[in-house]
Amino acid sequence: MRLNRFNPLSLLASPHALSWQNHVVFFGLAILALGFFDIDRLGGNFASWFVVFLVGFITTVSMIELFKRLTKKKTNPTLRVSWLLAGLVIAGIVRGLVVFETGFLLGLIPETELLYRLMSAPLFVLSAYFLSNALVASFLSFREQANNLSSELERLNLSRNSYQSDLQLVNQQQRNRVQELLSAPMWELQKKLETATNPDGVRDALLTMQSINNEVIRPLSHELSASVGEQKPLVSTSSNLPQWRPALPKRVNLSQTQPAWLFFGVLLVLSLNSQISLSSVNQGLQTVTLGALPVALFFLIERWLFRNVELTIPAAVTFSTLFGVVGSAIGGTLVQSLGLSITDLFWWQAISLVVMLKTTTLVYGILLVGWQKTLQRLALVNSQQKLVNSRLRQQLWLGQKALAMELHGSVQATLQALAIRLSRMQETNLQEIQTILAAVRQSLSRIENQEYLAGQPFNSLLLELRDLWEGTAEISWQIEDAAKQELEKDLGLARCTFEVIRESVTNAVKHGSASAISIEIQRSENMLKLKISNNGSVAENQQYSMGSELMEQLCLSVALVGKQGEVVLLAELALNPEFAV
Amino acid sequence: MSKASTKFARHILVVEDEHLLRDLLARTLEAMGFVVSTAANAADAKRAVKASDPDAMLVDIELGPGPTGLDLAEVIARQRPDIGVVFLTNLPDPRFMGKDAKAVLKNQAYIRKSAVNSGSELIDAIEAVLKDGVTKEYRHDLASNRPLAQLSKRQLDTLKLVAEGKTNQQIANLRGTSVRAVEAMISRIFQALGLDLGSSNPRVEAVALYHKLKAN
Repeated sequence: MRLNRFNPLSLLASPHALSWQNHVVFFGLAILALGFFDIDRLGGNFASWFVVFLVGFITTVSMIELFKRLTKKKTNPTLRVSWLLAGLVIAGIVRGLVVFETGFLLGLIPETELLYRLMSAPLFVLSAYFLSNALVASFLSFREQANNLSSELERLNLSRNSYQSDLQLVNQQQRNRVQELLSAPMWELQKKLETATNPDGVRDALLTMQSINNEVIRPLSHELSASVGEQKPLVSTSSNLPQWRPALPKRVNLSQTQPAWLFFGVLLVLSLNSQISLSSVNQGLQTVTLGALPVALFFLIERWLFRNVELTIPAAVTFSTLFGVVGSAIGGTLVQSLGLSITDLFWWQAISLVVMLKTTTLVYGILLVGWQKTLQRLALVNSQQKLVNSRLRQQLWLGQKALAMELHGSVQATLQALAIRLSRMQETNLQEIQTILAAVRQSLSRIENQEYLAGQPFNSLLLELRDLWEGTAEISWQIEDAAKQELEKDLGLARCTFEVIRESVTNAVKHGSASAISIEIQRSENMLKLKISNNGSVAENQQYSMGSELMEQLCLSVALVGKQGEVVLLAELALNPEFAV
Repeated sequence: MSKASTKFARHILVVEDEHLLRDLLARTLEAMGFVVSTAANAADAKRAVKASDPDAMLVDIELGPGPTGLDLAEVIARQRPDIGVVFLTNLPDPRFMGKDAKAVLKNQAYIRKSAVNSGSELIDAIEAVLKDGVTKEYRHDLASNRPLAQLSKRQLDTLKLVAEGKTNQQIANLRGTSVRAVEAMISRIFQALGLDLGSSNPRVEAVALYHKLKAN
């Protein structure tokens, strides 16, 4: 059985099935049945009947709770639903027996009622709990899903704050401070180098260069790197989060918010049960058929009339009640005029049963629409938040990478190389000093570098990758025009995309022994979609590709699918540059 | 880009994206009698291998936006296992590139740039690779005194997540484990790093240590 979160039958398999709230609903329905049917039909004082009712209620609840315990460990949904349905029937039979015995002992129920009690009680328990469970369990299910989405949203929001503050640290504070602190000593160095006309001057410049490297660059990079890791209190912005509480729809369509099978299912079970038990099979069938036909007819007319009309909730309830009253009144009149009714109150009983069931069904339908909309809205916000976070993760990776490359890599490497080069200068060589100065300037300018592809087009990186692996694996690619434009426009995205491709190519060859790899890149609304297929081994690919932290950091989602003779990595990278800090 | 024409000299390919350092390394090696070719990225290096058939390669791991030095070494190990590889890098070990220790093969040398004090140390590492005699001395990635050496890759990954500001619950979700298991692992990490568990905030100290060592 496929579990549908709001399908009444599937809801019996949910963890919320037959929760305590259902007993409250059943309490109300049983009291109504007592007032409508038993006292009117059999007489007796209310206090004695209430004792019978209480005994019956406690028995029913105890039996149902017992069956819930018995089915608790059953993981197969179909089996669990079957067990609970059987449990409801057995609880009903026991209820019927206990109610009969108690009523008989108190002189309220005659001996001839035994069969009726044994037949009607299971159907009553089954239909009442089935209906109430549909409402209660679907609400609890909705609440649980909404809570999950809400907490996920909160978590995403906190992560976003965290990413944003990290990004700001990496991209702004660090760069600003680096430039600020480096500019003075570099200016001094430049001056020294420009005025170096003899070996002493060059030596002096060398010492300055070394002191910059040892006393400025290194401590600074330590200090700034440590600041990235400081534990920052994350401010919860839950007040800005959308509320999960269900928003009822302003308008509803009557033909879509009244599930016919639920309404007629419960109506027929309850009415056939009472009429057949009180008269005979033949008379019961005739009564229910005659009574229900006009109800069905008006139900269909109502659906047809309002098929394209959106009504406000009060109007929907009014029209639904009106059509129910008219249909059941005609049905009741027909039954009574043919002398099929057993009790004098049949006309009123028919109308009240139909109105109660129609209203319940409509409320259920309206709540479902509201819950679905609430969940859809939350899911949409969550998916947008995921995009933002994914994009921020990319930006953070790029920022850290750029910083690592330029501050710890290029700048230090340049200064080290220059220092050695200067130390080798036996005599002043103005031309070489000029070259060194140019290198220093170039190195410093890279601190502000946002050129994530180092001036290369994305395609040339793929060519490099292809050339590198040539002879081991054939790499081919196809990039959709829209994706190509995006990659040209957003170099950060291009760099991240290339890293994902590079990593998966390495994994496919190294761990999956792939010899042919094809790459497809497409652009969808908010993301780039990567499909990287290879002819390697599935198990090995899976073992190594999925756990890659790099993939998790750069991608919105990653999945590895093994088909016959082919392994496909599907990755999504978030777009929307406006989210980037 | 061949710099010398010594007929019998051994040929070294220097792969380094920083042109100044590349130039310096080339000059140093030439001065020691090697024939040197250079390449700025992995694809150029692959072409240079075809063109000049080097005996060994001196490879930086971070080569800019394209394929990495580790990618290049992987290709060379498959296609030309006879060519020796010496990694010359700022990274303490391959874990900092998200790779495991096996990314560097037994017959490859791994030298940290900050640990090289003279050209002769580099030459010794190249000689070791050429003679297939790589010892621990030339494997700085395995040195017990390297930063965070006492941590396993899994522990290092967890520490990285802690450094990224993730909560124990978030780490547990990412690692697919329980919060209790994460707490236990973090305690072991703190102990391995020699941090006082009773101090005011060992978590902050661990994060600071991680960033400090990573920056080295």
